[in-house]
Formats: sequence, C-alpha cells, structure tokens
Amino acid sequence: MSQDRPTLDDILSTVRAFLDASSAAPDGASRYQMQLASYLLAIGEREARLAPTLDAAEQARLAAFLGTDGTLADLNRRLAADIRAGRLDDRWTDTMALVLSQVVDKMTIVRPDRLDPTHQRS
Amino acid sequence: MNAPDPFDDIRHAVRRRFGGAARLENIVVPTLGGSNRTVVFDLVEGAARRRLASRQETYVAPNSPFLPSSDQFRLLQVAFAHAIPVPEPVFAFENADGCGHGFVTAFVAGETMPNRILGDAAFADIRPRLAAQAGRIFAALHAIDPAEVAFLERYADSDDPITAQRARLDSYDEAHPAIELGLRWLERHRPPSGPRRFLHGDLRTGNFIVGAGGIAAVLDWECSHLGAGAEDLGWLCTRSWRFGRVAQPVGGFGARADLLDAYEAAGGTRIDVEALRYWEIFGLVRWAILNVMQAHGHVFGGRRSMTFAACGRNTSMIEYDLLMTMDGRYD
Repeated sequence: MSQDRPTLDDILSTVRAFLDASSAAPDGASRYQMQLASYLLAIGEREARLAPTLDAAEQARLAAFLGTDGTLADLNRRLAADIRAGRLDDRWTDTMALVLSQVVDKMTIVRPDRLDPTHQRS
Repeated sequence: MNAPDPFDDIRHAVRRRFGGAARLENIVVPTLGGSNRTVVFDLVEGAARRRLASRQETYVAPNSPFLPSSDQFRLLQVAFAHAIPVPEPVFAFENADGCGHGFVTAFVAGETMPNRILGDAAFADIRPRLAAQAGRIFAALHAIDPAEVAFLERYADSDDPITAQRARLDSYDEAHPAIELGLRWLERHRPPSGPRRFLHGDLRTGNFIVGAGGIAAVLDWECSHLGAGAEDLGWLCTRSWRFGRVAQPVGGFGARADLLDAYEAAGGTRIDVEALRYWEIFGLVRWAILNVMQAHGHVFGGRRSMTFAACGRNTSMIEYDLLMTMDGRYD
C-alpha cells in the first residue's frame, strides 16, 4: 500500500520533536496534543509491522490489473492517470474494487477501528 | 519598564476609529486554534460598552484556496444587510492599523464545538430544529442577487467546482486513485446546470454558533463562491460533518427531508435527494483534497505540526467513506 504523506520517518520525527519540546516545558502540552502523539505513534507501529506484506501484495495486484510492471509509486500514478483519462470507465466495477482494497490497506494502518467489519483483518 | 502589551495593535486600530478615549476591557483569547488569532474584548466608549471579536490572519499558504480577509468582510456586510445570521461586521483592518489582515465583528455568544452541539443534553431540545433552520438560512442566502457579490466570479470554484478541485489536487502532486475515482464519477454524473447562487461554501457543523434559539450566527466565509444551491446543502450533509452520528445525515443532527423541505418552503428551488447525494460525494472529494493540502503544508510548506501530519494520514479515512458511499454501502 502506498501510504499518503507524511512518510513513517516523518511521522516519527514529528512526534519526537513534540515530545522533546514538551519535556522541556512539562506544563505546555495539552491533553489533545498528547492524544495526537499517541495516535501518530500507533500508526507508526502498525506501519512498521504490516507495510512490507501489504505493499508486496498491492504491487502484485496493481501490476496484474494494469498489465505492466513498475515501482508501487509508478503503478499508483499510472492508475490515477488512467482513471482520470477515462481509460478504466469500462472496467469501473473492477477498478472500484481494486481502489477500495488499497484504501482498506491504508486504513488498516491508520484507523483499523473505523473499517466496516467485513474489511477488518482477523 | 512595562512589557509590551500584546493587544496594542488592536487598541491602536480601535482608537483610530472610535477616538483616543476608547478602551479595551475584559480581553479574552479563546483557544480555538486554526490559522487565525482571535481576540474577544469589550469596546468601551464613555458609558457605552460593546463586546467585539477580532480575527487576524497569522498564516497564509502560497497557494491557499481560501478567500482573503478583505473579501470575507465584504461578504459579511452583504449577508448582514440581508438579515442572514452572521456576526455584525464592524470594521476591517487597514495597513495603517498594523494588525495585518483581518476584521472586527460583534461577538456572538454560544457554542461551536461539534461534540457539544451533537452530544450535550443542554442542546437536546435544539438539535431537532437545526436542520430546518439551516434550510431557511440557505434559502435566504441563495435568494441574494449574485451581482451583489460579483467579485466571487474570479475564484476558480465559481467557474467549475470539479476543475477547481482537480487543479488543487494536482498542485499537491500526490497520486490518489480513490479521489480520482470520485472526480471521474462526479464528471460522468454532472447534474444539469442551473442558476448560480451566492454560496457560503463551508456551512457545516462546527462553523456556526448555536445559542438558546438555535443557529445564532454563521461563521467562516473563506470558501464562499458562486454555484449550484445544492452544493451548499450537500456539504452540510457530507458524512465527515456528522462527527460519528452517521444516522443523522444533516450535520449529525437531522434528516435530509427536514433540510430540503424547509429550504423549499422558504423559497429555495426544490432539490431532490439524489441531487443532494451528488454533492455529498463532491463534499467527500473536496474534504479529502483539503487533507492532502494539510499534509503538503506539513511536508513542504514549513508548517510542521502533529495535527497536519495526522490530517495527511486521515485522508484514507475520507477516501474510505467516499468509496463506501459511491458503492451505496454508506448512506
């Protein structure tokens, strides 16, 4: 799965910068910011654990669907461009299913609790 | 030597207009966050006292999709003149004020926090009335002659909303097949074009003040443009603005029929539920792109924060809602 910005490295450094700043000023951090830090770290933990498997499966699905090879980023750009140009209009249902599987993968890392039960990993 | 007073800029601007004897009292800085500085204060002139709210821009992205403060102030003046519930506009800051961009309005008391409006027992009697109220406000707004706000013509959203969203997505340069599917669907199911109305553009739960009588004031006019009336109503019903109360399509508090019936009864054009749903899908596409924008500002715009980092990753949640809605699995 090709995650949206920011990258895992960026997320971890953002949270670390926040924790560094708040340890210098222990009263400065609001409850909301602490919850946000925890939320971002949980995304990082799930991504580190699940991304290699999910990414490999997604790349294989995309390559098969588009009938071409490439990096995950290349394949995603190709898919986005093909949808916009109308080249997949006659494969609409299959395209919807493919894109939904990508978004479910992203959500599995970002917010698994918000997925419909049929989309949650057992 | 006294420390510099952080409110000197506003005091200076007030005295330029209301005289050197005018005073600011009971100054409060609400912790609303966002990209504005808000200061609430009493303006005291002799025996007269009036509670006002100042809003100053603190950050403007280079390719910001939002209207400048000066245009927002003009819209408030037009809306106020037509008895739309808005905070009464008092004055806009000028260069000589040294306050940057922004404006001062009357202060309106009430609640804006979605979770309180949608959850607190104190609002239980008010909630069932909000959808019809919103319908009447939309009808009054859309009845205003667009010629009064002709300056909105120059914004891309007034020209074609789908093209405007695509251009914005392209400027952030990140591939989003789900958003592309949404845009393609919107393009293939375009409703017939009708009269263009003066749209608020961002009227949703969280952007209006609820008082004892319901909606007391509509805020946040920075997304206003010209377009189909149904676009405004669809945005209020967009799933993200239900804040988890998904069975209440109108803003998390009401039924679509209440909104549409009140809109029509107050003089608005009849909008059917399918037309409303089209603009709810548009709303999900638009909200997803706004979150892509926040991530872009975090990664490339020097505006780093955990909030904007989280917005970027939350894009997938909106894409999920979008696909499930397009698929008919979400209402």
